[in-house]
Amino acid sequence: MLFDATHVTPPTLLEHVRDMAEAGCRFVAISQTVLGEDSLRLQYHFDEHRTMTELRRSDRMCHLTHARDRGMRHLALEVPRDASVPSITPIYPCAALAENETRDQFGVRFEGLSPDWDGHFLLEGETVRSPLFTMTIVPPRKAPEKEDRP
Amino acid sequence: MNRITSVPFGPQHPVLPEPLHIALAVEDETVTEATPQLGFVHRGLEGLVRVRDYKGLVHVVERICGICSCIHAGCYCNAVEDMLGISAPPRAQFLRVVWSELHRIHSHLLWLGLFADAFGFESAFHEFWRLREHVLDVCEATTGNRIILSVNVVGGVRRDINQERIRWIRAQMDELETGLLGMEKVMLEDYTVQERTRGVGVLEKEEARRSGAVGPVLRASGWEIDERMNGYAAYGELDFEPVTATEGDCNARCKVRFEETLRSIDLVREALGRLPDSELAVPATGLPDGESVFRAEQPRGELFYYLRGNGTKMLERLRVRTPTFANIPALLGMLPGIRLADVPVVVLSIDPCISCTER
Repeated sequence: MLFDATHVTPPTLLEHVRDMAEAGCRFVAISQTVLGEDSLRLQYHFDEHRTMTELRRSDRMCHLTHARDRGMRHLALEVPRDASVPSITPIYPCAALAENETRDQFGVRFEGLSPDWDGHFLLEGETVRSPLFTMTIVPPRKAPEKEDRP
Repeated sequence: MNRITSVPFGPQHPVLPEPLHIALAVEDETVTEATPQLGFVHRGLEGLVRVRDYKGLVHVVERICGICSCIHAGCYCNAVEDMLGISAPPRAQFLRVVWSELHRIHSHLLWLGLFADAFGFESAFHEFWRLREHVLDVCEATTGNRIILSVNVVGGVRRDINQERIRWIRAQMDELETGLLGMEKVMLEDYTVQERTRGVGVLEKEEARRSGAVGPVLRASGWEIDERMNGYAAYGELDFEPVTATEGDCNARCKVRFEETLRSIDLVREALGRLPDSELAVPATGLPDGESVFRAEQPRGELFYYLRGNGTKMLERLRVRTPTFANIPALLGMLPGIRLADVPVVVLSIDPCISCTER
């Protein structure tokens, strides 16, 4: 499903998320894309939480609407990598795992995140970088060259 | 005031087939707080988009989870097909339903066995796993593999099922249904099972929505929501109804999964009976560009894929949100207030799949 997201900024993020909560939406996920050396795009995905009965009713009234968006809403937020982003956990506490994972893998700092694993949600204490960022392909080791013996 | 004791649950525990650690704060016999720790099987599979082309990546996403590999691959293929502007042929759509439902049946049977084992009902565990062999035999006969089926490709499926095989599958489904109905009274009405599961780990209806729960956990709390109702693959053409319960406890989650297994058997029969004649796959030409999301219903709940392509054969980003990841906040809400002895039953009741969760 191709989709359109509503673009938000850090100061307006919580306002839009609050609208989602008031509309009864369920939090689905955060997806992250690296845009360049220093910037990221975070996308917050929500579900309209429509039941089978409601879906049947809306399909009878306007079939095409639901087939296109499949009941999802999306917010897109572009941020510099070092900037902090307001946490949505005061509104959606269940987003804590997704935000902690984003912190682990992309280094984004969320203000007001609770509970906060401080970058060690998936990674061990001594690990400082995620495999997602530092994934390298180890070249096969070359066979040692035989020395010519005199 | 009673003394608070810290009790580690997992990552190695008899009821957990996979590593999940929960630090439990316990007062007398009652759990007061639960803090999870993940990361024991984190493999960084999402990072492989940088080195595998978008067609080869099907084999990677299938290995995110063994138990529902076919649904991972189907969800990924659908998302890529949306980006390429193609659609799998009708026969492929029905075959995807058949294999997805077979995965759902064997996943639920595996869970029913493990759940019975969590409260010490070992003979039920053996019986459910014996019944599961029927499904694994069907998977092996139709795809060559028992667990990781490798039938989905971008644009369709790789294998077909002929009429002779369909008759044999129907016989297997009949045998499975008979065996399962024989276990219905034992699993859903037995006094001992009721004692261990009824009223335990209750998730209220509104709390289920707030905590982002999905799948049987959400439906057992009274929500009539199942991603299959949106009609992806061939589900829109089949007689599908979500299974729900209202109690929101471990017993309700067991009931939902048991009933879903029976419904999945019916869906397999219906899909096989209505297999349309068409080719199995359309050529996937072009390179994925833009963004796409797709959701499918795994045995554990809603699976979410986000893909971003940049017009090359390598995708720029693959993001997977698995159902267990969504159900962990709900689990953490269920644990405080229950007895320590009920923790394994409640943890098992969300059907945790940790290798899925961590990818």
